[in-house]
Amino acid sequence: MFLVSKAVIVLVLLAAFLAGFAGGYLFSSASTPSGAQAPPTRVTVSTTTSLYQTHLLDDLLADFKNATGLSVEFSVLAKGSGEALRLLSDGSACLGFTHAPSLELKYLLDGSIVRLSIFAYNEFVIVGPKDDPAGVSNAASAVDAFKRIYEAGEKGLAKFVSRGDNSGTHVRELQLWKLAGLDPSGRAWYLVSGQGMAQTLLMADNLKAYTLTDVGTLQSLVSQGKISNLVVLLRDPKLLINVYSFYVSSSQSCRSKDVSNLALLLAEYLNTRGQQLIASKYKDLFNPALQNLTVVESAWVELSRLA
Amino acid sequence: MESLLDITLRSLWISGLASLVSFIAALALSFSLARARESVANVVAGFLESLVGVPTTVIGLLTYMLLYPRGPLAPLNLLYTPWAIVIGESLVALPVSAVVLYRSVRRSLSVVSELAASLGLTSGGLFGIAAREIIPDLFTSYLVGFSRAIGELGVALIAGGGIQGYTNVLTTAIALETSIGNYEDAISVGLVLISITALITLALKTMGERIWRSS
Repeated sequence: MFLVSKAVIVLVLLAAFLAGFAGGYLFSSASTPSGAQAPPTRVTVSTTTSLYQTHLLDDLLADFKNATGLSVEFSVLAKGSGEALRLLSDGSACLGFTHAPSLELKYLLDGSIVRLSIFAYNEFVIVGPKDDPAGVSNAASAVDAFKRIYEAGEKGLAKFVSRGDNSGTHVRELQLWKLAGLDPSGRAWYLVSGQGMAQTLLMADNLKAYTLTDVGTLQSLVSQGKISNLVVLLRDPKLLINVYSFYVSSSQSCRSKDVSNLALLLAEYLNTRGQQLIASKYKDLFNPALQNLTVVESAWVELSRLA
Repeated sequence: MESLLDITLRSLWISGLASLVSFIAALALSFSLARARESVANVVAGFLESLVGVPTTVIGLLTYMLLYPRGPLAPLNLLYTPWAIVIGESLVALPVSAVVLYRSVRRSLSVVSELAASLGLTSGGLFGIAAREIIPDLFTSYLVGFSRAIGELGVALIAGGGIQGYTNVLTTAIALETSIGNYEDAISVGLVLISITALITLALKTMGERIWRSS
């Protein structure tokens, strides 16, 4: 009796898995159109949330398809830069858009990704409550501002919300703390949200706390009327420049001819027509990188070295 | 955000299929367990019960590790497709479906076998009566599996990716809208999710009881 039932269990589990795989096979053959048209290839793209939220990436990819007439479907995964890069190095995603130079450098050095373009930049800003208890608006630099926030925090006057998710913004924040020679982790006024930029901004807004943000996400929330207490207190073009780059994974699963052709075409698009789209439609949010490439590239190099 | 209807329909077929797969597996599992030696059955059932509470993110990571380009099932190319979610969600739903069903099968078999012994029924007749007894629980078992599958986020986000127009389901839509600060849309998707699970639960439960009464 027991022997029979064990066989049944095994059989049914096998059948269940087989059904799933058969389904997968059917699906992949069903998605191939029967006509003479070439089947649309599906390429997975991992991106940092700011490009997703501001719709810049959607626009760029749609315009790319229009311009080239390629039948390609992009599967867009909106993740923090840390996770996006991990997916690239796994080969789970073949193309990636990120903004964390020091993390990118790590993956570049171990050969798991290749940079094809630096296509846009904007800046991070330090935002905080209007009354600015830490005096950030009088700070000489971003590092000075972080020192002021630390002091005010220790006095119980200010709070700071950190992303804590290994995203591009979080990495930059940690670099600034390091430059300031301070370690806020574990302090009562230093709150780690572990969430995306928008949630972190809303949290800071509710708590009247300081935080570091990219201007894209901030603008999109402000234009939706969701920010009531936060204002931009400090800009620092030198330390707070935010560089967006385009990568292709060099993992085995992305080495097909289709993918590398597509990656090269997309890079070419980003450096030409894409630049115009960024300049015309996203004037307040992003700057096309090509016109200032030497400046932006040297900023990237400097940032990538700040571990 | 893409249309709410598309997301809802996608959610329904993915979770419906996943819970169907796990329901069939649970059915076979619970009948085999009920006929197995009691000591063995108890150990397996206890193990299943302990799996009921495993976080779906863990199962999501497991599914990712199975399907990603360096995983054992990489050649199937299923990562970030609806089928990845079906596989992961059927693993999510299996323990709870099986536990519910196993309890009911065990109970009805023990009740019925006494009756059958006193009436001198064959084992075929015994199974017939037992099967009729558990009809309402069949629906319950499918439903708890379905609710767990449609309400889970870990698998859908990690193995499915929440890709717009492809693998974006109700829970990933909520997570995505929340992550970009769009709480209003997130809550409306949440309300859809709640009403769907409530409606389907009610409908299938009444259906199960009708069938049970009429048989």
